[in-house]
This record gives sequence, structure tokens and C-alpha cells, in this order.
Amino acid sequence: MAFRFLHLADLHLASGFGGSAATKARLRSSILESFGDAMSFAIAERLDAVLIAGDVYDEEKLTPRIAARILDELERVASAGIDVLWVTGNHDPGAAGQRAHDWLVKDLDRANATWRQRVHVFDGPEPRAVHIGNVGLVIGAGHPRDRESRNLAATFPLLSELTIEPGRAIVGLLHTQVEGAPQEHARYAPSTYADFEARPYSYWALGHVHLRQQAVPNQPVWYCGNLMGRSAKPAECGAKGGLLVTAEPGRSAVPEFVSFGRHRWERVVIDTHARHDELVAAVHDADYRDGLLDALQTALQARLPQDAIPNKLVVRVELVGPLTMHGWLREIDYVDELGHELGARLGVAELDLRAEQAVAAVDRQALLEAPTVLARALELHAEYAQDLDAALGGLDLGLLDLPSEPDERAAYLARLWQDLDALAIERLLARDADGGRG
Amino acid sequence: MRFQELGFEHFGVLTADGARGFTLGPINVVLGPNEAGKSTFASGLETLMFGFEPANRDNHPLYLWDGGSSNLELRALIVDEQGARVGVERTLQSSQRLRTQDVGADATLADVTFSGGHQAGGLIHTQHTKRKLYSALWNLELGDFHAFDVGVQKDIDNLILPPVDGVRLLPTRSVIASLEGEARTLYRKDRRGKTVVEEHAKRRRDLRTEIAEAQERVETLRAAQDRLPAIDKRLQAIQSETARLRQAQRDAQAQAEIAALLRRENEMGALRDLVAAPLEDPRPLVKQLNEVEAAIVGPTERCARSALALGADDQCVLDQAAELRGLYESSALLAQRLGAWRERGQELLVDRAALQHEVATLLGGDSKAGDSPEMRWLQSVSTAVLEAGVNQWRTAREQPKTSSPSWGRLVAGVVALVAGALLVRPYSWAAGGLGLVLVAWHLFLDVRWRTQRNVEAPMPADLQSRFDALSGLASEYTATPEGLERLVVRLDPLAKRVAQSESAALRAAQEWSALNSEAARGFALAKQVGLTESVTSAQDPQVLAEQVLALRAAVAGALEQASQAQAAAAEDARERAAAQQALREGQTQRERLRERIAPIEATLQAAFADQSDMGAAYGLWAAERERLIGLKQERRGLEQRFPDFAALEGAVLDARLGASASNLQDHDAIAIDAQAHELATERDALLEERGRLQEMLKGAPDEHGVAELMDADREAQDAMQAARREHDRLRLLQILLSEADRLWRAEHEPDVLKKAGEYLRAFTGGRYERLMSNDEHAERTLEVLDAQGEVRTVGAPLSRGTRDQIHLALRLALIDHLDQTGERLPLVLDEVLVHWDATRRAAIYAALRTVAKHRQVFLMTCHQAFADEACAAFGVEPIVL
Repeated sequence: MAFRFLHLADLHLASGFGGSAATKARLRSSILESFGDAMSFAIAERLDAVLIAGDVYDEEKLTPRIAARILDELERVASAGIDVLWVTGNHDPGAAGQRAHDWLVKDLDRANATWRQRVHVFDGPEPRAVHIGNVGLVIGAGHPRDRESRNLAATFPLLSELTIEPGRAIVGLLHTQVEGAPQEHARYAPSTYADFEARPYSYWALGHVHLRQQAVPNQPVWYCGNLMGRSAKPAECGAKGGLLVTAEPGRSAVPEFVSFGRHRWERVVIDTHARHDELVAAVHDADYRDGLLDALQTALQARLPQDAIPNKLVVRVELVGPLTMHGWLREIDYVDELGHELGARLGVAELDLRAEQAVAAVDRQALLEAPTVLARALELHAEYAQDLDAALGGLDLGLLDLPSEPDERAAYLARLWQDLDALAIERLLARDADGGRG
Repeated sequence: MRFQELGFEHFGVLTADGARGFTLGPINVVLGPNEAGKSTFASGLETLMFGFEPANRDNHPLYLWDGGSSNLELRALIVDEQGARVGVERTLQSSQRLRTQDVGADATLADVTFSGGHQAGGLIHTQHTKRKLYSALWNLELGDFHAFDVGVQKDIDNLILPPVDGVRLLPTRSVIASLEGEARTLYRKDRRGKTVVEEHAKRRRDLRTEIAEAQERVETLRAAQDRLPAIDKRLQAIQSETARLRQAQRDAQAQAEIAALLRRENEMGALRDLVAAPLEDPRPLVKQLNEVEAAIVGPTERCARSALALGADDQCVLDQAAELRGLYESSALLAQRLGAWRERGQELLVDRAALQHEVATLLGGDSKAGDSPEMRWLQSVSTAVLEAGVNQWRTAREQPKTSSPSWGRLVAGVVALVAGALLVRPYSWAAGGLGLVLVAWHLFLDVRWRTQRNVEAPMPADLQSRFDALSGLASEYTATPEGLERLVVRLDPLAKRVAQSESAALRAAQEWSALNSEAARGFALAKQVGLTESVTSAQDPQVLAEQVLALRAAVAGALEQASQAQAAAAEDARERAAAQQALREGQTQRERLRERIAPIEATLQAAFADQSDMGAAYGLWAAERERLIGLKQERRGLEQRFPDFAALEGAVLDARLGASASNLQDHDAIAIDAQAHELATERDALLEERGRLQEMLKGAPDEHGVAELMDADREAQDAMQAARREHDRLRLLQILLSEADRLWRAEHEPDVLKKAGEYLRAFTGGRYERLMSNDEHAERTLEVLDAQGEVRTVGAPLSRGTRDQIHLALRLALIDHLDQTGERLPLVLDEVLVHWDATRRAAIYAALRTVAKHRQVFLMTCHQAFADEACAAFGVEPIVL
């Protein structure tokens, strides 16, 4: 008989979101509903357990009402006879004295109901085993503090150290940063490939990294990602949810993704350097407002996921590279207005248009050849870029955040210097009455 | 070119008093008060170079109308840079005229005779310069010193920085200044104004405060959530404690009341027990006793008299009569009993004879054959039987001590019980138990029977003697068991009947003895009363019966006599008896009354020993009694009010052991009151706190308040970082553009600004090094670079004197530039040194001396001191207007 469970992690039920104030409010409600959806799924599927690999909430942001909502959902799923196994992470550490954790534990203990026995909180660093019926054995360990630096995975028992009843699948549950994983996060409770290879459990349910991925090549070690995206960062975009796992003893489980996030973040970058793409070229060439709006709409319709519900999408569009309408887009109000209209056309919940990385479409060579201050500035930009430190070393730069450490200082200057030529062009070149450049 | 001489006619205020002429040097200090004609003088110079304007006499502002047809006329002697001298004459009537005349080296203006045709326009020396430029640059006055004339602006700009064809750029300095401005809006080192970074920082500070407050609110809410159950629990505890205290308070109150009751009860002391029982009022009793005692006085006297009247003989007669009556009655009874005894004796005799006959019949002989062998055999057999009976009795008497013949049956019963149990298992033990009980009962009865019948029964003495007598004979018949057995079977019933007969005879003898004794007592009585002489005792019942009858007859006679005496005596006796009865009754009543009064009196004496008056004592007793009743009623009332009265009373009594009950209870009550008050206060405070917490929880803010604020803080931090980064970016761009501008200007800026810089450096003694143009706006402005490298826009921030010096330097540079290809025209400075300090005036004097080497200078002033100073500096005499 297989051990069927839902693998969740990084719920961050009390944390904030990106987007406008209205979107934030909408997403705050949405993520709690998403959590409820996940619990309803576990009940409907009659799963054996729900495994949560840490970061259910953010320690300093948990409020009594959200805590009550979490308890309600735990009660609902546990009352349905489903075990809930929750290891604490760096955002919801479990040592005594951790304010939010104390709340929940106190509330859980205050509940003192039969369902409480089905909620297992792993809040200490020592691995602990919990039997799930006669089908599974879950071994978990939690973060007592928010900056756990120990390798907790290495303390999990080897298979040879376990006395396993026949028919039970062994599952590890941990909030950890696997070093070498495709996407890395803050380095808490760091673990290595070798830790998991030495412990070939049927499945490892991990949390911490928000991008869903197989953490260790060729091993059933998975990050399920977070429950719902929180911002337009790459790791937060796309479909989010949990992993449905069917684990059998002695076999590596292959999880199946189940989407729970009621809202979804998407980030679309339109880089006009790639003008071989007709849709991108149209954006570049647009020389009046409505033309640009049409071009962007067409480009986005082709790039947004077709399976997503439009009004559940929160989209950030970043314009990168030269734009004919760049001069007009320099006005932030125009950009916002254009983004709102574009969002309305696409029917998405919110569209955040960004044009900071867009530059003017000019003939740079012609600018260099004219005997002007601008040409001199462009020459100097290129010249100084060869050795910024030497070129600027003797000057009182008057910068606010210039690091003192040489390498950091050089890197900082290089970052700032990188697009100063475009900025110089932008600033010096006189603007036509219609917003274009003369 | 340079003016060597001037001559003015009808030209403004200068010529108000007639034509004026002036001889001029390279540097000329013109001194004149206001309206003396300094401006007219300068205008005359310009007019000489460029012509009249307007070119109409009547419209010319400087034409002095004298009522005639005089003309405006200006004349001058000019020497050019090649040393050629030219006379110039300009006149204005309806039109202007110009005539020039070359003159020799030594000629004066007066020597010049103008001839030739009239010319128009400016002198040939001024062809390289427009008049407007000259007016703006060469001819300077204090009022509009800083402003270039609009018409010459473009020319001046073009002179400063010529445009580049093909690329249209915003003024670099303007862009840099804009960047500077933007950077300063983002961040200012001097922290002045509200910069973006500062606003973000302030926003962050505010947010952190709000976060702390929000977290505190959350903590407060959470604490409230945790606090509420504790409050409820405490309220329940307070409720319980309050109830307990109220009970204790009630107990204390009850104990106080009980203590008071006990005190009052104790105050009664022994009286309480004395008055506890109801006491009859002795006063009616005493009164009744007195009446009784008074009443028995008569019967007592009567009895005394009766006693005197009644003789002892009467009494004896009465007594004898009574005894005779008794004797007569007992003799009748005795005769009756004798008759009965005699009848029974007859029956005994008959029965004895029948028994003898039966034995004889049994033995085959008659009852008279007492000496026959059979009779002897019978006697022997009887003896044997009796012996066997004795043996059996003895055996039976000993058997219970040794063994019982019933043990066999007991064993058999037990065996049967076990067997039955084995066969019928489910019921065997019940059956066995029943059997065991039966066996035990049988055994008990058997033993009891034997003990009672054989052990306890006494052996009859006559039977024993007869057994002893026949014991020898019996031994003969015990030789054969069969014989013995047969005899026993046959004689046993007979023996029993014999025994019964013997018993009946014995009882008859006893009864006879009793009758005889009774008769003897009767005769003794008769003897005593004189009816007989002796007491009789007869062996024969018949005799005795006859004697009794005789006695009876005698008694009957005596009784008749006695009856008569008795009747007389009886009358007296009745009277006396009545008196005695009355006396006895009175005495009895008196005794009863005394008995009733005695305890009352004793009680009252015990209670009130000091009261001799029983009435007063009783009054006191009654009062105490009422008091006791009141206490009892009070006690009953307390018992009804306090169901646990007994326990409370016990507590009061216990408390009394240690301290004063009342004090203790008072102390307890006070303590309880204080504690109850404290609890009530705490309860009220808790209820208020609970209400407040519930209201607070009900009105709790948005649950995401903290998260929102932290997000806002993060956003503010990001924005601040972005602003700082943007500041640094703009600053770098500023540096880049400044350097590019500097290099480009170095490469492309015309000499005019360089020259102006040199003049300025000279004027300011090196305080300012360089003058630069700024294309910030549509109109270019000037900037100045000081010795510290700081660039300043020429404007309000600089002092008026410095600005004058800058503009003068610029103008000198410009006119130098403009005069490069032509004659260097005279420079006219009208009151330009007003704002100069002495140091800088000295500096400009030195500079002007240099200028004057190749350009004629006119320095005009209305101040004598300035004129003196300048003349001293230049070594010239002033031209006084």
C-alpha cells in the first residue's frame, strides 16, 4: 500500500506581496484561500498526510488572526484523519521564545482536541520519526532559530540505522539549502548532494528554495516551491502550489505538481535588441503612443501563459533596449498610464510596466563624429571604462554608497558607469517638440 | 584710435554756456557733478565715431534750441594706431554731415579747416564694429552695466561659443546643473531641504516606529487573547472565593450571634439548669396545704375519741372472729381436699392391685404367690431390669464424654453425602450440606435427649434401694443373653408401669403429708381460740377427716358468737374507719401537697438561697424562666436561620478555648470584609479589563498591518537605495559631463573668455581665475571659476562689485576681440567704480594703465575723491565739466 501525501513548503502566509496596494490586499487574501485549497485537496484525495517543509509564516509578521486561520485549516485537515507534519524553517523557527511559534504551540495545546494528535510539529534540530498508519515513516527536523547554520540533513539516520517495518515508505522532511541546487537561497541549514545520496529514502520533501525543482540530480529530493508567488522575481513567477507524492517502500517516488496558487506572477522582458523578432521590432519601431500600445499588447499576448486565468495574473513587463518612443517613456506618469491601459486590454489583475532599462534609439556613430561635448563625453566614457579606478581615483566623487573595499568599489563604480553613456545621450540630446530626439 | 581734442557746440548741457573744447590723453578722468554733462560727453564721443542718432536736429535729445538756426556740431582731432591724425567734424541740422580732414602732426583742432564733401555713417575707424555693439561694450554706464543689449546678445553669444552644425544639444552647463539639481533633490550633504533620500529615511524611521507600534499592538492583542482566559479563570476564582467569604461572613455573623446567645446563656449560669424544667407555682399549693391541714383537724379528734371508745376485747373478738372465719373457710377447703385425696388413694390402691395382678398374670401366678419361685424370679427379674436400667442410665451419663452412638450415623451420613456429591455434581454439595445439617441436628438432639433424660434426672431413692436389693437376683438371669433379652422385652413396659405406680404413690403420700400439716395448723388455730384442747395429727385419713369435720362444727358455733360481737364492734370500727379514712385522706393529701411543694421549695432555695419568701423567689424564678424561654426561642430562631447551627456553635465553643469568641469573630469579620472588598475591587478591575480587551480584539486593525508596514519599509528602503544609487549615478554623469565640457571648452572656447579671465584675474588680484560661459538657458550666462576651483554663476550670489569686475573684464575681452581687425576704439567707463573697494580700484587702475597703452580710456565720475584717486593713479589732471 502506497504512502500518499501532499508536499508543501514556504507558504509565507503572513508575508507581504509586491504590486499595488489593491493587488497586495487581494493577494493577502488569496494566499490564505490557496492554503485552504491545498487542505481541501488533501481531504478530497483522502491522502495519508500533508508534509510542510517549513516557512509556514514569517515570524515577525504573524498576526493572531492569521494564526487562527492556520489553526482552523490544520484542524480541518487533521479532523479528516490526515496527519499534518510540519518542520520549522528559518522564517518560522521553533525554539522556545520564538514569539509566533509560541503562539501557535500554545494555541495548539489549548485546543487539546483529538485532532491535535495528528498535527506533528518538528521544531527541534534532532531528527524525529513519526509513523503514518502502516504505510509511511516520516523523519523530520526543524530550525530552532532563524539562522540555522548546521547541516541538519547529515544528522538524519541512514537506512542501515533504521528498523523499518515492511510496507512503510521512508520520507525525509527538512527545510534546507542544498548546495549546488539549480536555484539557491539564503544559506541556512546547508546540505550537500552526498547527504541525500547516503540516505536513499523513498522521498525527500524539502523547503526553502521557492523555485520548484529536483534538488539533487537523479535522487527523489525535491523542492516543491512556494504555495503562491509573492513578487515579480524570477523564482516567484509561474504556476505555484505543491507536489502530490505517492511513495512506496524501496522505490524512488516521482512527484506530481498540483497548482494551488490562486494568483500567479509573470514577468515578461521585451528586449528590443532582438529586433529579428517581428513583435519586438514592432515595439521598437512604434513612434506614437497608440502604436506602441498595440505593439506591446500583441507581444504580450504571445508571451503570457495560455493556461493561466488572465484576471489571476499579476504581470510585470520590462522594456529593455532602444525604443523609438523612449523620450516619451521617460515620463514615469506616461509609463504608468500605458501600463494600466495595457493591463486593461489584456484583462490581467495588474500590469506593471517598467521602462528604466529602455534607451533612446539614436545613431551613436553620428553622435561620435560631431565635434560636440556629447561626443567628447562618449569618448571619455569609453576611455574611463578601461580603468575606472584610475580615471576617477583622484576625484572627489561625492558618492553616497561607494564601498571602501577596492574590489567592491570597482564593482560599484562599474555598475554605475555601465550605462552612463546612454544616460549622457539621453540628457544632452535636445528633445523635439513631439518627444523625439533631434 | 584716440581722441586728442574735442569740440562741442550746441550739444547738450556741455555747451549750455557755449562751445566747449577738451584736450585728451590716453587716460582721461572726467569729473563732473550730476547733470554736468558726463553722459553727454560720452555721447559726443560715440556720435563722433558713429554719427548722430537720431539724425534729425529737432528730434535729437541733446540739441539745445537757442531760437536760431544753429546746428549741433562736434569736432575732434583723432590719431589712429598708425599715427595718422584726422580732424573730424559732425554737424546736424535737417540732416547730419561729416567731414574729415587729415592734419599734420603738430596741428591742433583749431588749426583744422574742414573742406571737402560731406560723408555719411561712421568713421572709417569703426567699420569693424556695429554701433550697438559699441554702445553695449565700449560705452558703459553704471545703471545697465550688467545687461547686454538684446540686439547684440546673439552676436556676443556667437563670439563666446559658436554653434555646431548637425547636432542639436542642450547646453552642457545646463544639463550638468540639472544633474546637480536632481542629485541635490535626491541627497544633500548639508542636509538642507527635504531630499528624496532624507524623505525615504524619514519615511523609514516613521515606518519603523509604526512597525514597532503595530508589533506592540499585535503583542497586545495576543496578550489580550492569552489574558482573557486567565481573567475568566481568575473571575471564577474570585466568584468562588467571594462565595466562600460570604459564607464565612455569614458564619462569622452567625457565630457572633451564637456567641452572644452563649454569653447570655452563660450569664444565667446554674440558673439555666434550675429553671430549665417547668416549675409549678407553689403559692396555690401552699394555700391548699393550709386548707388540708385545717381540714384534718376534725377527723384526727374523731379518731382519738374512737380509740378511747373501742376496747381491747372488742378488738380481740373481732380478730378471733376473723380468724375463725378463716379457719372455718380453710377447714371446709381441707375437708374437700381430704375427700379428693381419699378418692385418689382409692384409685392408687386399685391400680396397684391391678398391677400386681398383671405381673402375676404375666408370670403365670397370682399376686399372692410372693414366696413362690416365680415371684422370686419376678423380683429378681425386676431387679435385673432395674439394674440394667441403672447401667443404661450410667452409660448414657458417660457417653457424651467419650463417644456417641450417633457417630456411626454421622459417618454414614457424610459418606452418603460424598457419594451423592460424586454422582450428582451440580446439586451434590447442597444436598450434602443439607444432610450434614440433619446429621448434626440429630446428633444434637440425641445428646441433648440423653443428657436431659438420663444425666440430669435424679435417681429415685426408693428405686435405688430396690435396685440394690434385687441386684443379686438379677445376676442369675444374665448368664444367657437370650434370656436377658427376652426378659427385657417382656418386662420393660411392666417395669415402667411399676415405676409410674411408685411415683403416684409417692406423690399421694406427699399430698397426705401436706394435708396433715394443714390440718395440724387448723387445729393449732382452733386450740389457740379455744375450740380444741390440742392439736391433732392423724395417720389415718379417715380419722383425720372426721376430726376436721368436728373441728368445722366447733368453728361454726364459735363463728356464730363471734359474728354478733363482730357486728357491734364493726359499727365502731366503721365510724373509726371513716374518721381514719378521712384522716388518712387528709394526711395523704397533705403529704402529696408537701411532696409537690418540697421540690419546688428545694428548687427555689437552690436558685435563690437569699430569698426567704417563696413567693418572691418564685417571682424571680418565673422571670429567669421567661429569660430562659426567650433564650431558647432565640436559639431556635438561630437554628432555623443557620442550618449548620451545631457546627457553628461548636466553632464558637472551640474558639472560646483560645481567645474570646467575640473578639475572634470580630477580627475574622473585619478581615473577611477587607478581603471581600479587595476581591470585589479586583473583580471590577478584571471585568473592566476584560471588556476593554474584548473591545480591543473586536476592533483589532487589519491583520496584515505589520506585514504591510514591513513591506512598506522594505519598499522605502529599496526606494532609498535606488535614490542613493541614482544620486551616485547622476553624480558620476555630472563628473563625466563636466570633464567632457571642460575638455571641449578647452579645445573650442574662443579667446574672448580666456582674455576676460585674464582681466578678471588682474582686477581681483587672483581671487578669480577664469570666466566661462554657460548655455544653461536660452540666454547664456557667465560663470566664474575661483581660485579654489569652484564655479559660480555670475549673478546674485556674487557681490555687486565682483559682478561689475566680471562684466568689465568680459567687456574688455570682447572689445579686444572685436578690435582685433580694426582700430581699438576708446573705452568709456561712467561711474563703474562705485562698488569697487580700494584694493580692486587700485587693481583696475593698474589694468587700465595697461589698457591705455593701446586704447584710450575715459573714466567718468561725479565723485571728487574717485577723481582724485584716479588722477593720482594715472598721473593726469581731471577734465572738469
